[in-house]
Amino acid sequence: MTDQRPPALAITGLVRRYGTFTAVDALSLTVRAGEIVGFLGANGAGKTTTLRCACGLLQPDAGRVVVAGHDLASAPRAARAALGFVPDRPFVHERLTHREHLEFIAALYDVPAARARERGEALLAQLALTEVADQRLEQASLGMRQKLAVAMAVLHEPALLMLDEPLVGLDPPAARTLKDLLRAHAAAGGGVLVSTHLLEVAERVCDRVVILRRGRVVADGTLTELRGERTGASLEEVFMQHQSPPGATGA
Amino acid sequence: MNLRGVLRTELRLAASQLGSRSGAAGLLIGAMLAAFLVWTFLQSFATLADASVPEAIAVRVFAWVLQLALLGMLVLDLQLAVTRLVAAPELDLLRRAPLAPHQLLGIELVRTLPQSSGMLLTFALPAWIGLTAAYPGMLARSALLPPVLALLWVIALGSGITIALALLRIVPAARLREALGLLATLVVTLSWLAGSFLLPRVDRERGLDAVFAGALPTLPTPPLWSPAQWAAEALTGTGRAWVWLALAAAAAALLAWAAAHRWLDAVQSRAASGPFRAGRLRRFARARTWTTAFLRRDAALLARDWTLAVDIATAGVLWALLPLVLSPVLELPAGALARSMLVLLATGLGYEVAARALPLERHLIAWAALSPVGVRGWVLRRAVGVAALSLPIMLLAGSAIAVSIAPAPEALAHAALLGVGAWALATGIGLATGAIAGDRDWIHPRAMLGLGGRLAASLVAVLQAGGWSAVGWALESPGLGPELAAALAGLAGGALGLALAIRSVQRHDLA
Repeated sequence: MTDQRPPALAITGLVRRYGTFTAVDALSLTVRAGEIVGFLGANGAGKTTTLRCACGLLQPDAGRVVVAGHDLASAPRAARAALGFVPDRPFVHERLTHREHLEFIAALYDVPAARARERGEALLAQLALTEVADQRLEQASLGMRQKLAVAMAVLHEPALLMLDEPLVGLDPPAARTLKDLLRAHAAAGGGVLVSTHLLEVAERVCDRVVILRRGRVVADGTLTELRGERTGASLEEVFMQHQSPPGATGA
Repeated sequence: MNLRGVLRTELRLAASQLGSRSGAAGLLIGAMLAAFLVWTFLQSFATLADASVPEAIAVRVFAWVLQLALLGMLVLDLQLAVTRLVAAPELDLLRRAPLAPHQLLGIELVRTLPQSSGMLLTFALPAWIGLTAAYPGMLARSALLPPVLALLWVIALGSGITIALALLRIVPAARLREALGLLATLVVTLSWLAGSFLLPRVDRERGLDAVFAGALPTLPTPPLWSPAQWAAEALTGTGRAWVWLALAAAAAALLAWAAAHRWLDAVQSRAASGPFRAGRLRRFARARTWTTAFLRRDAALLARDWTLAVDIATAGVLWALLPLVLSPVLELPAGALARSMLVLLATGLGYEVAARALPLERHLIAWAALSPVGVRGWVLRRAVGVAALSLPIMLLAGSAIAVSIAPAPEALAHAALLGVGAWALATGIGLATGAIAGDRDWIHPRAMLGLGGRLAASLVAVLQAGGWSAVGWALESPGLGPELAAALAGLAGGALGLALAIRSVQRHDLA
């Protein structure tokens, strides 16, 4: 039986330039519902720019972004309601408490009050934030802010969850919790696009991997597909192979 | 420390700031202001030369200009430098680097140079141009101006920072940032009081025109011990003044160096550790609408940044009282006085409340692009928040004015209509200014806009106040029709400002 649900994310021909520099060059990719896609690339490959264009933080120069069937350009409100984004630096206010952030986000996304309360408390507990829930972020560590950013992104149960280097600053138990949370989100039918430099994480958590080089997709498939004939090759070896220009040796 | 490398980096940062949109706007406004001041001083000193006022008297006037610039620097710029030294975001990184306290002090002072040298450059340079144009004999000494201004800068900042560090080390750590915020309000209040109460009395008792036309020869020299007087003398010929100036600069630098070594690290640590505050434990509670969510959040932010609320309230009172203080000089009738007070308060609230509304968001503003609210919805709710804070202040002030000044009912209606128009326009322009020039990483409550933004916002506020006053005088006639039209024009202008704010946020990189 084929999946009738629209893809969680469909990007077509995305272009984003900074002056004369093309950061993202005619990029297309799809994240299906219930799928976790790893987004890999060297520094400056265009991962963050792609994610920011896909969530509406940056205006693309060309291309189309569709979130759960809603075009981000023509139906921005529905598209935004269907996505959650965890940035590399959390968008938080140091004078507000953890709980106040979640309350504010629940209102912004029109999460019904009872559901917001239930889900908010559950996320605070799951991410070990309950004890600090009523403390302001002034003294929160990077890891605590990052965990709050994750809770803010998933509170409204989006169809698509995008994360930009979400494991930076997390301690091992928190990293484990986050990986479980991603799997649970996918198992519940949500799509996940996660950018990371941790290849081990991509290898263990992701159903599919997209590798980016100079703003273009150079590889897209399951680890088995990407290995091709090199059975037993690690993701690191596959990644390094795709970081060299075509025809170059030694990768 | 690689001094050359640090200076090169700072120059690059400054160049990139000036190259930005707000930096370019600041440069433009700064150039316009400088051109105006150059013209003013050219005219003023030419008047003195035409009246055959001796060169010594003209130098005395120049010394008073330096004196005022120095005072302005101590009152307005020093607190920015101190806040930067104690609470700048990059301090965390710098304090981990192998830097001695005096080196860190040097780096931060170089960083504040554009702000902290503003008053000196803005007044001293145009005044010198005016003086040498009217008295060309002194033109040859122009090369001495940069070292003299540099020495004055060292004296003012060195002594000011020493005193500030000595005071901050006895403030409890949990109250240190609040103390800085209150200091800002106190400084503005004191300078306002000094300006508003002294100037009208000088004018009434002696007559500024008379002072300028005939009484200049009796103008006293600034106090002999004053660095400004030494600077004027050093520029115009006396060798001994150089010695005093250099000695004072060396003493100030030495004091600042010693204060940095002794107290800077401790004060910075206390500022960094900051207050550890838990909110009261409570249940999860979601606001029913977007607007109530914003208002509830704003109330929490203002309650926590209470020094900001105090600053806003103080500024509101001071703006409203300005015409009252000037009334002995201008001899305003009750109706015009009430109108001027309301219009000035409205303009002031645009500058003090609306312009700070978007920078107050800090990085939460990114959710305007991420969430279903959208940028338009977000900025509109900021406007609602501004109205929720500033309209009650307007109403309160209007009621107080109606009771205390008791203008005729028709005059009160005139004032109210113009006040509404001025408030709407100031709110729209304020929001747009905050959107264009807001600094999301602000550390000083009176510097939520970048330097260019502050200059532009001040100029626009003065223009608005002047414009509405002129409209008020022009429309003084029976009937409310013209005032109603002016109020509607103000509302339309406010809507345009709001649209500009939305467009600006949409075009910004919110990440």
